[in-house]
This record gives sequence, structure tokens and C-alpha cells, in this order.
Amino acid sequence: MGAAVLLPVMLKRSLVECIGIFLFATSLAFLTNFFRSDGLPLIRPKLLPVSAEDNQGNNISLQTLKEKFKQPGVIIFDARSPEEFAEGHIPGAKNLPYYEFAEKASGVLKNIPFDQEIIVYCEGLECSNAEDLSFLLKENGYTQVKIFEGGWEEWRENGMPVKRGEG
Amino acid sequence: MEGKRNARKKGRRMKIKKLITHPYTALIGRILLGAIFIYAGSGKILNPEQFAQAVINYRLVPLARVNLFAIVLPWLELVSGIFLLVGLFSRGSIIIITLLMALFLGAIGSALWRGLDISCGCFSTDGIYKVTIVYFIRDLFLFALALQVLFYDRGILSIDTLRKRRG
Repeated sequence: MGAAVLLPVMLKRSLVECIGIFLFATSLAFLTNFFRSDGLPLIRPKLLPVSAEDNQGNNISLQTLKEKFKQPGVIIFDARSPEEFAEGHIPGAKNLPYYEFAEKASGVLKNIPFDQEIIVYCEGLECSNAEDLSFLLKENGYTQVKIFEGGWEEWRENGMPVKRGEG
Repeated sequence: MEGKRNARKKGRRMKIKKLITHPYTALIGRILLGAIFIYAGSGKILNPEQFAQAVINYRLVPLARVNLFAIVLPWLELVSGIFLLVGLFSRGSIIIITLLMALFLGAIGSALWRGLDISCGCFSTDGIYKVTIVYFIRDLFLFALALQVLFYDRGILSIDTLRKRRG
């Protein structure tokens, strides 16, 4: 048989193999995901939209934060990237970038009780990292998570103290 | 003189060409790619939520679909890696692995392009290491290796060849 005859046969066989492997892997994937305890839900739950009323209770103003940030027990998380954090942040805040939550959470959250008040912020009104981070924190069991919505912008524009460098 | 040098140059080029197209290079490629995909896949299977988080960070898959992707992809890596390593359905598995490498290249490339500050999520051991051009070059090399296997694998030390001899 010439190559011209063999080629379509080989292509067809390769395609069948591809589909077979894909189906095999997919069924294994869903089967194990179904039976394991830490399996993922098939459709990832959306970050729940916070209703206006909830919002009120979950947010914290610059005024309140001014009084709070000096208190010894308060915990503030900066949800921005390590680079932005190093350029300047609220004194006493710890850096917990939303996008690195999976890797950094266990270290940063060590020894913090679930009912501890936690304040999170990001760049300002337009960023969503603080809100997303607060969602993750709540999902992990923390009940008293509050968002400083004005964020880094409001803090800086009001001439509040600034700390530089990696926290 | 001139002719001799040309001949030597030509000889060297032939040697390189022979090395690139040699079936033993393909055998090494099969073992290397197979092992890497088994390692990468199993690491992700062990930490599903961590991998889902890494997928979210790339911001390429809609949030609701992230889990489906994060459930299936590691198994596809593991299964095709095993098949490629033992040389069973090697045509199908190398096609899938080549496509996956192209997908990874695209994802990492776009993350770099957008300047995303995220972890690679390629191996579960990557941890907090950020995705950099080094990862892109590494994947470029693996992609080239996959293409080599795709085109020049002759099924040395493979179950496919055993089956063909028997049947």
C-alpha cells in the first residue's frame, strides 16, 4: 500500500485514539471527583453579590479605620500585589494578595481566631481584590471580615501615615 | 579548501538533522514528556482547589467553568502521560500532549503579555513562584520535544510495537 492510501487510515486511527484517551481521562476525572471528599462542585459558585444592606455592615469608613488601625489587636490585610504593597501600605497591615491566597493563606492566617475582626483593602473604590479576598476569608471560616472600600487611594489622599517595604 | 569546508559544514548539518529526526531522540522525548506529564497531573489531582485557584488567576476561563476545567485537565495530563511513557496509543497521547503544550504556552504567554502577577500552576510544587519568561522558554522546549516525538517516534520500547508484532 502506498503512503497516500495509508495516511487517511493513520489519521483516522490517531483521531479515534485521541477521543478515546480524552473520554477515558474525563470519566476517571469525574468519577474520582465524585467520590473524593475534597472534590470540586461541577459549577463553581459565583462570588455572591452582596446586598446593599449587608454592604453597610461589612464596610468600614476611613474615619473608623483611623481610630482602629492603632489598636494592638486589629488585623489589616492588604489584598494588592507584593510590589504595590512594598511601595506603600497602611502601617500594621499584612500583605495577603488575593491572587496568591491559595499559597500564602495558611502562613498568614496561622493563629488568627475565626472571630477576630479583620479589615481588608485594595487600591480603591474600583478594585475588587478586597471584596474577593473577604469572600475567601469568610469561606475559610472568618466571621468578622470588613472592607475598607476607600482603599489605599483614600488613605494616601487624606495624608495618613504610610509604611514602605515588605511587611 | 573552500569545498572541503563546505563539505564539513554540510556534514555537521547532516549530523544535527540526523539527531533531530532520530528515533532514539523520540524515545528520550517520550520518556521525558511522559514522566513530566505524570508528575504534573498527579500533583494537581492531589490538590484540586489549589489548581482551580491557579486557573482562576489566569482569568482565561469563565469562573463558572473553572472547576470543570480543573477537574478534567489533570487527569488528561496523567492518562496521556502514562500512555506515552509505556507506548500504548502513543499517537493519540502525543497529539493530546502537543495540544496541551500549545495551550500552556498560550496561557503563560498571555499572562506574561498582560503582566499578571500570578503563580504558574504548572506543577503543584511551583508554590508562590511567579510565572516568568523562564517558564515560557521551558514550555517552548517541551513543545518542540512534543513535535519531535509526534513526527519521528517509531515506537521503540512501546506496547504498540509489541501488539503489532503479535497481531
